[in-house]
Amino acid sequence: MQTTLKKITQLTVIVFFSSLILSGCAPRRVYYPYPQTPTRYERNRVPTQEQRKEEGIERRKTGPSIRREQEEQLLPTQPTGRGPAYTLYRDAGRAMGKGKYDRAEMLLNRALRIEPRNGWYWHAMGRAKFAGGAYEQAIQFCLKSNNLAGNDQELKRSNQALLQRAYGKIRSHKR
Amino acid sequence: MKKRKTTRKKRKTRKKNNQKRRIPFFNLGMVALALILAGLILASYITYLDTEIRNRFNGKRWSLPAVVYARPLELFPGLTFTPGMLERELQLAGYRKENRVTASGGYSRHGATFDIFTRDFHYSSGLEKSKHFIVSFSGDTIRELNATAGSHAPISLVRIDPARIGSFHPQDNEDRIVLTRTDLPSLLVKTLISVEDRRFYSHIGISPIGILRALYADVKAGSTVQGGSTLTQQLVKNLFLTRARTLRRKINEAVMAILLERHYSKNEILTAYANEIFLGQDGNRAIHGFGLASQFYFRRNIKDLTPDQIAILVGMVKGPSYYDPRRHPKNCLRRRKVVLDVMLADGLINKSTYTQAVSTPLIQSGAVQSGFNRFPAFLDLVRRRLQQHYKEEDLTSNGLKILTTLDPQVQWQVEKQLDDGIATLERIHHRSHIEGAVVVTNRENADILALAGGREALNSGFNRALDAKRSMGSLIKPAIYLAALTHGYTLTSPLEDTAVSVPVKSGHPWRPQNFDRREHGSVPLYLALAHSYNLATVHLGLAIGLKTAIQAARDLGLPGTFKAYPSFLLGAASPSPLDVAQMYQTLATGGFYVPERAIDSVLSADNKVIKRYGLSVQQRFPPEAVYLLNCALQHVVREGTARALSSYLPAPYQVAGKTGTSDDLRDSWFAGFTGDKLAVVWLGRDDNKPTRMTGATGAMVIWGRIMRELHPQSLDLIPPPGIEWAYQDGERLPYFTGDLSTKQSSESQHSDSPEIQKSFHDLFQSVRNLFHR
Repeated sequence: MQTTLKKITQLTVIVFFSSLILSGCAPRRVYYPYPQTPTRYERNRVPTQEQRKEEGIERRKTGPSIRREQEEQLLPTQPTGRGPAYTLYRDAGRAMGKGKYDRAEMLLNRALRIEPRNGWYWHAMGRAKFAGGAYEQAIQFCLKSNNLAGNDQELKRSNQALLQRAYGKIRSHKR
Repeated sequence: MKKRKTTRKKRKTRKKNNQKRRIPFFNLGMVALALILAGLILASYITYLDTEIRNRFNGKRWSLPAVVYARPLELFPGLTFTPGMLERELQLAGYRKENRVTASGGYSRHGATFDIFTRDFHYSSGLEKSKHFIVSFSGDTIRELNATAGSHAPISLVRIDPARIGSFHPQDNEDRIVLTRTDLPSLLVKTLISVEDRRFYSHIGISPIGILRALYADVKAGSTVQGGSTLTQQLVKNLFLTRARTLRRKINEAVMAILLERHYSKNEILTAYANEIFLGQDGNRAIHGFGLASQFYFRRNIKDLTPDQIAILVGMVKGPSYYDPRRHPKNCLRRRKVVLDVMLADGLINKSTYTQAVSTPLIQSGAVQSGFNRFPAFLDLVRRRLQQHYKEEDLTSNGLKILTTLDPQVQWQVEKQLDDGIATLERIHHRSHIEGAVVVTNRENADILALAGGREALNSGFNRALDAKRSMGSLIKPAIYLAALTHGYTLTSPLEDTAVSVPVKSGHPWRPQNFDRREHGSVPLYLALAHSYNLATVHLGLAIGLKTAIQAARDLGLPGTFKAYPSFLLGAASPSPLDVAQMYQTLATGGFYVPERAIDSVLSADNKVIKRYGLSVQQRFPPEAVYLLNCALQHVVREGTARALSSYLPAPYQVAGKTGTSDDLRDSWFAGFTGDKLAVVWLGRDDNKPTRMTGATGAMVIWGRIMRELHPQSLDLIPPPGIEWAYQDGERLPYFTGDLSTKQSSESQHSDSPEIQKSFHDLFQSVRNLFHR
């Protein structure tokens, strides 16, 4: 009995510490801070109401207004959390929704100065290039984004999808 | 007798009449002709003066030098940035330090909190209006940003308008901030007219009454209080920039003033005057116009000038040197009072404003770190890049705005460490006349952050970063090794570091040697690179072929044509430091060629985007091969020729780099990158004599000193798909998938790292042990 109890206790301790280790071993999200200096910016920050207003994040809507918003934002929501240049990324998405690809590129250029190793921003630049008809460059930006993707499978899938579309466009132009 | 007298008398009369008839000079026709001729000559002369003054007026009106700006400073919570860095940046950008900030272009500091009111600025993306916000620091990090208005909402990202770092001006070294008529404050215009030319709006260019009035006022005051020349005459004098005060010049000026008034309106003349008037000297830069003067003397936009500051500037018109507030404050204050008296007498200011202005002390702006061509080496690069697309007159006359990538924080560190570092090295190695060049770029997007063309930062002479073509020595080796890795070699492929003799067409065979004059036998590829073995490199280069090696260097971005000589393998090529930086940039980006940029965009004088230098990338090497090479470059620093770098950037930074030394130690190089920055340093003597320094004892020291001060990020290389790991002689090394033979332990790059696997293994072992006791 005592031996059994002892084993159960030991097992419980092992399971407890294993869970701690496992949580620490979860796939690391990769953050790419400011180019010049290391940062300790907030991760997965939940904006307060004032911050929502300041960032222009509106309350949840329903119906046609959601669809319109989704149409306006042609860039995928970054699942990797929001870095300091996120507002620029979001604004670039809106610019693309309005067909202002040059403006989207300028915003992403600025975003990449702040977070130069954020694979999503390189991917977004690829989208802007694609939308502007620069398919060769769209391919290159996707390849660059893949180079920074690490274990981010969603980013890799997005890059793959855009690559296929870009190659398709080039092939169809060659015919 | 009578007959003779009569004849004589007749002869006299006849003679007199004849004389009258024979003197044509006094004939009316001749006089008229003479007058016409004189008139024609005068008219031609006046036409000539007319053409001159119009050409000069129009030429000056449209002559706007291109202005160059640094990068805008981006601020956000979590950014590592010290209060000292921020203050220095604000001062470079010409911000006023105040107790209370009420107007744009000002800041105040209370300990670790800044109150900043930015200025409107036209970026390539459009006008960004000024913002007023508070920056709060916590140690060396920005803790938060808050708006000053309303509920002090937190701000996630804000940028400060960029500092003006120089301009491209015509050869006469003038500089100005050009204003339109509406830019001129009403008080400034009225004061100017009251003091210098009361009858400006009514005279025809010259004013005899004005001259007399000025004389009367001067006599009454006992000193010169009013000028006799009109503003128009002064403008003419400024346009010709001559000090000759001859009568002829004065007459010419008067005539040209009248002619100017005939062609241009009062407002146009007044505006040109406000932009042209000479108001001081800053080194070899002439300060022209109230726009630039208000920035230079008071760090203010002209519309933010206070009445006492307006009085100082208007007072300086009479004598910019004599009334210079920096050099002759007493004269300046005396003159200021005179002008303020006139302002009060003419009702331009009330009594209380007058009292306050008179009692305002002269605030010294201190040693103004003028942004004018403060970074000549970088500006030189910008100018050369622009000259590929623009003519000289476009750069000096059309008022272009050049937004660049220069980071003043990085540039300051580069300048300081290069100068101090060389001084130290000269002492240690008992050498003198050592010069250097540094290039620092953003690791991923290839923005050129800093450029040093020599030890003396302010010297605009020989730009070694762009023009010093020196043998690159072992810096070429990564190109050869990369070529090998893309042609089937692995990091552990054995190379023969043994004597080699290469026949050459002319003369004796080429027999290179290692630095230590020894042979090391069979060595793994990565160690041959880490220790920079020459013999192994030559064997490798010859095995893969010279053309392949040269092509790899060119694909990396090394410009120029290279002859297929074996000496290429040991760095006979002579690129500039900037060229070397471009080559290593492709390695730092993971095999993507990203052209290095010094310019972000070019805007016209009316803020329209003329050209944007966008980001472009091109994958030139398989990412796996570049990953392997970069790992090898980390070994250079970990255990190879650059191991002494750890005293500046310890092991956790995982720097990748390469030392380079040319024959007889004439050139000392280091190229390397951290997680966020790439830098290349060259040291040498201009007379090409030996420096007594290798890459590790010379350039690498400077590199380490610079990077240490730039808050570097560690270099975490991301293994691409197609990389597997294996242990070889106790060293864990990456390989192409498929290149691995059976190993003791091998891991897929998709699974967890070996340390965690080991932990699980141990954990499961202990669980097993628990149940088997």
